[in-house]
Amino acid sequence: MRKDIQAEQAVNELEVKKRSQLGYIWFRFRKNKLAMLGLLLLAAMALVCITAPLYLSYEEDVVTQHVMEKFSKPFSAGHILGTDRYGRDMFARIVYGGRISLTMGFAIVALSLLIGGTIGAIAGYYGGIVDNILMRLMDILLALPQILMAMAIVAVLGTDIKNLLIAMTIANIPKFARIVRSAILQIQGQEYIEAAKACGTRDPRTILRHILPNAIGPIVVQATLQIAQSIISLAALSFIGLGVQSPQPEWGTMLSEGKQDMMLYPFVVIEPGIAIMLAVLSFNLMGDGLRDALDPKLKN
Amino acid sequence: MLKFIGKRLLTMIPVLLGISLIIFLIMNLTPGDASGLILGEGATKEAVEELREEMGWNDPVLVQYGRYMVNVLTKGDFGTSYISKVPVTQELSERLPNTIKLAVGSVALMVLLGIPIGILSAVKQYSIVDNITLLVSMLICAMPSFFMGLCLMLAFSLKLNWLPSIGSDTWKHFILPCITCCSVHLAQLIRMTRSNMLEVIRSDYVRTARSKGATERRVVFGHALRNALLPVITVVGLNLGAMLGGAVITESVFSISGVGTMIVNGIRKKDTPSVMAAILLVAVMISVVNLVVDIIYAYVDPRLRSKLK
Repeated sequence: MRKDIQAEQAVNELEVKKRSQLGYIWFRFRKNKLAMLGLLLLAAMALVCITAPLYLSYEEDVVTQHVMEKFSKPFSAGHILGTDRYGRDMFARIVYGGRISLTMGFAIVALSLLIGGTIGAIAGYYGGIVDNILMRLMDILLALPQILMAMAIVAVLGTDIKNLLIAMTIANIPKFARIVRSAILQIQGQEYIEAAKACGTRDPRTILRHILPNAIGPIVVQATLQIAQSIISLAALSFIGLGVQSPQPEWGTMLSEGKQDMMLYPFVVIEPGIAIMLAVLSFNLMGDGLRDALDPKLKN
Repeated sequence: MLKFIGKRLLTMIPVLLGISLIIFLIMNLTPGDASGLILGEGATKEAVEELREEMGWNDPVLVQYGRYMVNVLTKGDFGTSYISKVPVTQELSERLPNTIKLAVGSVALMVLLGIPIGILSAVKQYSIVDNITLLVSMLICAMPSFFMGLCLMLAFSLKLNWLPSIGSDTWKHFILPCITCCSVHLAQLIRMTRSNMLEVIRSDYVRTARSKGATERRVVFGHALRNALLPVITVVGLNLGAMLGGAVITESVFSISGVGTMIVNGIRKKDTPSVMAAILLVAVMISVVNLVVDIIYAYVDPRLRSKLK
């Protein structure tokens, strides 16, 4: 009887090991404690930010000034993280700032991946003169630091969320064009691509169905890490006054507002700073974890 | 080798021309102009119109760009700042030393700290030193430079009163900005050096060196380090460019009057000549740095060197 159970268990264990490709990646990702920490951190932050309207009122808690309650200490009644110089609740502002930062991070990367990826895919797939022209264009955009490019574009379009999204997307496009291009070049020479072409598969289908799934690993890793970078860049733009404008809360804006009070009330800069760090850290940890999970050979 | 350098210098030209065109278009496609800056608030419509005619702002953008480039290339004339009314080249030459001090200081700090810590961390893998190094560099990687700058300023100038917080008068003013500017790149360099060292330490030739009885010191510095440093050079080079971009933020945190603050102020006030010249200068510096890194790389790696000959 006992032997039967053991045998059954053994069979079960064998079955567990039959996983899909995605299953294997998840299995390896899950074993990486730091990566899971990143994922949980992000999930927690996302949950708090998404559900914010249920327990906070934007008008009352985030924007309206309550001068009587200015600079309440953290953990004081009603204000877990204290209040700023206008008596606005720091926690509410950080949460609403997070809604902007996290959404923008995703949106910027998704858009620039879509546009830059298409450019890179075309350049890598067709090669020759198309490649040369497109990539020289990308080189020009890459020759300027991303943040300078974004600053210049924001200056033209003006500072609102939509324009920030456009500016940061343009600044991010060349990076993704390069990543996707090099990923495609690596797959390009494989025999199964030749086979697909020989069967008369049309180019877009070859790229999307045959090349892309095999090249997706490094692209996903870079995209994850790039979300972190975009959150930092957005906060940096806001910090120098070219990003999200007060009274709308954003982490960078909060830091630059708090700068004048940091001598006496350090928490007004430290709290939003830690919020940025946690967000960036979670994406970095996940990116590193994904890299290891996607390519176990890389790990020493 | 000379042919390689020449070719690289030639490819810089279209890139720089492209950047100048893009920035010029960006600055001039914006509605509104700098007439308010030059004439002051409340200037009459006629005066504004006269100024626009005089400055050539009514011409098509491409004509204006052509005129600008001709002036730059033939006379080395980058125009006059709308705000300070001084020639842009003069203002740049006053501000450039501060930016260079910041950049050189940061790179020096990054290399002097990053490589030794990276090696130590790899040689003593999984020790307390290694774990602390990894943890700290992970946290620093997630810290935006302006937050780092504010924290340093808060701790060392406002609370402890050891160092000045803003300005650029003495070398002491540059300590905190340099730490701020290099911190993220320092963390990356440590991780990179560590992982390269770990890879090399496991290679066959290091095992051979150990088995023939070489001292640990000789193995690490004579055999492993040289090979581990190759990719590190590329990382340092790539980071230099990013650092020059990051200097813009660092300069505005510490109110250093450098090229970066000139760009930020210029963009806010639509001072096209200043922005154009400053951004072009940054682009030139980045291109030159990349070229130098490529040359050093070719020089250090014998495989590449023989290919170039």
